[in-house]
Amino acid sequence: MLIRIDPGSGEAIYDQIATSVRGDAARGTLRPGDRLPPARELADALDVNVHTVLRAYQLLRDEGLVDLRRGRGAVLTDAVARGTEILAAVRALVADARRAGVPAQTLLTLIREEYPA
Amino acid sequence: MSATPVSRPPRARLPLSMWVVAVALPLVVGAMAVALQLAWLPQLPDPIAMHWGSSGPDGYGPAWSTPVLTAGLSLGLTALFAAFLATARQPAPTASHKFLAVLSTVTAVFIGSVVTASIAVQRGLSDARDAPAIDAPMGIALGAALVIGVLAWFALPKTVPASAPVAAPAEALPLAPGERGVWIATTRVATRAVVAILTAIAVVSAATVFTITVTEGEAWPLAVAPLALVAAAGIAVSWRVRVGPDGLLVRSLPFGWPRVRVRTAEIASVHALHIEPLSEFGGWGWRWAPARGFGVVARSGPAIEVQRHDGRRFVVTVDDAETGAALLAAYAQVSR
Repeated sequence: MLIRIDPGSGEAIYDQIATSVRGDAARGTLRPGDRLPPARELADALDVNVHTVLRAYQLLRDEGLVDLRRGRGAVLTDAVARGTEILAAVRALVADARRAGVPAQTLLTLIREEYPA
Repeated sequence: MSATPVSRPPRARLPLSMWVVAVALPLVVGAMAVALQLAWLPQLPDPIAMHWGSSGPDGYGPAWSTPVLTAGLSLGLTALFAAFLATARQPAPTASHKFLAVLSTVTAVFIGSVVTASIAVQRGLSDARDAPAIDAPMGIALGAALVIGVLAWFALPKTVPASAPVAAPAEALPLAPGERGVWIATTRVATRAVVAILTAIAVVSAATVFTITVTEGEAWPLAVAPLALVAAAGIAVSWRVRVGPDGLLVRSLPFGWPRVRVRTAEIASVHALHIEPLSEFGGWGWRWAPARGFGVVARSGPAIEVQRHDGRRFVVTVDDAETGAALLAAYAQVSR
């Protein structure tokens, strides 16, 4: 699986790693039961601290996207499959927003307001 | 952003001459060897010498076991080579395809003539312990097999290059300046291939046990063969493939060894292509083939191929090879 980070972007690295995994999950590149690379391996390859990767994995676990088990690593849960359905809905929503001339920032604000903070 | 998936090339129709060299010739040689051995059976001592040490024969077995072993090896090995070539895909015939066909004939001629010669020298003896040394016949058999192999190679049609024009160089994945990408995947040998490998180990073990039993334990050093196979299989079932800013790294699991590293600066070109293990590499695992170079071959399907500046190539079969190849191409481009 592909993980991309940009240390110059200002966003925390662990957030970027989690975003990368979420994106692959939503696109259907990742399926339930797939395993994330061992944290040590990913940290070594990205040249970041292993705790940064573990923090990203914990973030994904708190969202219910992965199961963290000793000895088995980070395994993607069934929640991954739900992401693909949402992706189709998001695509339709963005197309509607474009047609109506609603800019991305406004759409994001509307979505955020729908979630009870 | 997703790279174009690697398509599976159509099956190759190999020329008839390939099948003659790979299947017909070895079967004819095997049949001739078995016929001669059966014809000489009444003139042989029982038991016969089956294994030679530095000071003459040191392993003995019943006379009937030799034609049985010859027939079994002839049929089994020929079927194996035929199966390899039956999976060939275009373009064909490559140097690997020709090599497999010629190897089938060379193996058949060598085994057939060595075993038959070991019987021939024992005709008319009353005690197998008087059997003469077979170094000379073995040398002649090896020489004859190699000559026939060279002749067969030149009798076969010209080879075609292995990859072109099927694969275009991988398109580099767009990376923003300062952005870092890492692609990590695990590749493991397909269950069907594991079954085939276990079967091969079982066949070798059975042949070894058979030989050790009929020689009443005197051929025990042969037991090294199946043990070596088990050890080799242990480091050739699963690998972790990693593409990052420093290049390509392939490590055997679970020990992380042996490993292959191709540094970004060494890379001349990157391809994503389809690999057919049997016809292109003659099997699975750590492989070398004349037309392809070195490879980590886990299964039939997409693979990343890198060519170094010195021309050496390395291939690893892995799911989603297109993405890995695109990222590797991006880093290879940056380093240029």
